[in-house]
Amino acid sequence: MSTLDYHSEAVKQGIERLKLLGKHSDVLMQNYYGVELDEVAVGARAINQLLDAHILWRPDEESGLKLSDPVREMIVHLIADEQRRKVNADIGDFLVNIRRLVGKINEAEQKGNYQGSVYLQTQLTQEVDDLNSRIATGIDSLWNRLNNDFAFVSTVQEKIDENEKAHNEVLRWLDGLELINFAELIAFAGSNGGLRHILVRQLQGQVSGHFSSLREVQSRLNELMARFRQQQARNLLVRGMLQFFQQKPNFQPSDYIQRSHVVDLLNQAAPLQPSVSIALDRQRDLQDMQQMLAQLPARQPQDARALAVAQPVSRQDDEMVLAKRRALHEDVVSFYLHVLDQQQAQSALEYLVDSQLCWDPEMWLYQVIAEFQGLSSTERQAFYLQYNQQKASPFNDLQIIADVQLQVLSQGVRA
Amino acid sequence: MMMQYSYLLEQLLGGAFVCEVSDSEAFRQLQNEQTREAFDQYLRPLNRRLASNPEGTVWFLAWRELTQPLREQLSQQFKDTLDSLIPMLKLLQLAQETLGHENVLTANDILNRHEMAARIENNPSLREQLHGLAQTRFFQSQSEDVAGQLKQVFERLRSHGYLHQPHKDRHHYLVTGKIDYLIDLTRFIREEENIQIEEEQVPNQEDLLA
Repeated sequence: MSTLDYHSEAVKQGIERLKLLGKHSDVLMQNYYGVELDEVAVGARAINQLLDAHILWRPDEESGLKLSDPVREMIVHLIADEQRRKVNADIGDFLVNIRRLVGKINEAEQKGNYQGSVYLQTQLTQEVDDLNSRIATGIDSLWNRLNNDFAFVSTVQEKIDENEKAHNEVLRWLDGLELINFAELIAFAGSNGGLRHILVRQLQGQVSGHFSSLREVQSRLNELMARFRQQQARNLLVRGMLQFFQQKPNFQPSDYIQRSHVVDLLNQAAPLQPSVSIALDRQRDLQDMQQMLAQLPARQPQDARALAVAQPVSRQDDEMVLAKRRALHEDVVSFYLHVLDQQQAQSALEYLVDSQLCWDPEMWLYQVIAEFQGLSSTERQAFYLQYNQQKASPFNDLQIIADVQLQVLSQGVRA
Repeated sequence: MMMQYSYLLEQLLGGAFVCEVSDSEAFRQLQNEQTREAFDQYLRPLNRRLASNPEGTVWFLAWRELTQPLREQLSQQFKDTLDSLIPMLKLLQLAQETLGHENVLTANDILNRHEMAARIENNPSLREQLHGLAQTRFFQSQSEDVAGQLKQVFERLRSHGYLHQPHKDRHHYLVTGKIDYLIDLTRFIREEENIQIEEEQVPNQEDLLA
């Protein structure tokens, strides 16, 4: 809910004065279009109210009442005054008035009518102020439209149209300002200090300000126009190309890549991932590296323990394998010695069972054969190793050894 | 002197498109012609150089000298881009319709994923458009609902550098200059293939009355 205090003085006054505007809207609008305000018809009381409310003001005792600048500006905004856009005529009119007044002033001064001259100079000041405020208002209205990107119309096309209108307006203002001929005004003022002040120092200063303001508006309008046109082109492109692709689903563009010149749009180098590592051999980085090392998060104690345990285990493994192999070798050597002692053929597998050795039979046979082949040729002549073997199957010539018989030879002959 | 640009260099070498939205500081640095020359000099042994779209709103690396294998790589890349072109143009249209924008998305536009999802949810035609898009090879969403599909679409756009997400945990995204690149590429194809596009017909008052 509104928290506005309807009983506050400011609110009361605001409402009163807005009502006042409504009540006298007719005369105020007429005055806006240059009709002199008939004070008698409006009535002294109403005139005083309007003056109190700063809706009207009286530039000086002699001259008529005028709309105050804020009210004039408000009306311009309210009615988006097309009339105000017809500026050349306005500036022309002002200039005619200025010339007329300057003529009168010079005339009065020549006649020694200084009081008349002062009065006319006030009128001239008023005229120059009016001209200035009219141009300023016109430029303000342009800025307003610019600053909201012509948001008061919706489509890009309308924005482009509005931009063009505004652009023409700027040109008209610039043309209008060109009409103000300062050489002429300087000549008018002659040696009259008062006139010089109004026409040269004041007006010239203001006009040059307006000029640069208008140039700025112009360049901003151009920028905006370029943007509008670009947007329009983009909209059209996206819509049009989608339409085209829909009509030609199998569209294949030409091979632009094989041309001698490939446009940059199509020439995109393959991505490359630069990677680096620490250079351990660079002395001057040593300190940094040490720091980095110190900053590394501590290793999980769990991991450390696992690592410490794992290594001896693997060593133990090696040792166990070696020990087993040695034991196997010794058992096989005993088998050979046993055969030498017995001086008769002995089956390796039978020996294994009889001696209650717990070697895997296959491993045992391998080791017996390996030991035989490992003997020097003279020692080997003392033994004879017979393979008990047979074919894997009738169609497979692979010989499978079931057992071996070892016997001692005396002078190369089986015992 | 290249040390100060090492981050930017890595980005570019990694295949990034640098624009005002994605990295305003880097983009500003690339506006300087001397800096660009220094980059090109540095990149020469890598057979790379700086390149931009015609308006200079987005920068990337191009090959300096083209060999046949490089041309083949470019052909493949162009093919991939072409495959993504139709889904991307459709996405631009979808975003424009969803947001009620008068214009196609451009760099710096802000997209709010949740807001877009809500709008699409409430409009059967937009829902259908999104569904169609989500199933293309470029976007590939398995999701059945609008929020999930849109999430995947945004994620793909982000990973392809079309969207910049200023805050990881928020749902608004900025459109990057890479969209300009895509539009420029589309324009290039249009011009090369001499594809005629009908001007927009603005109906005037008399036509409406007739």
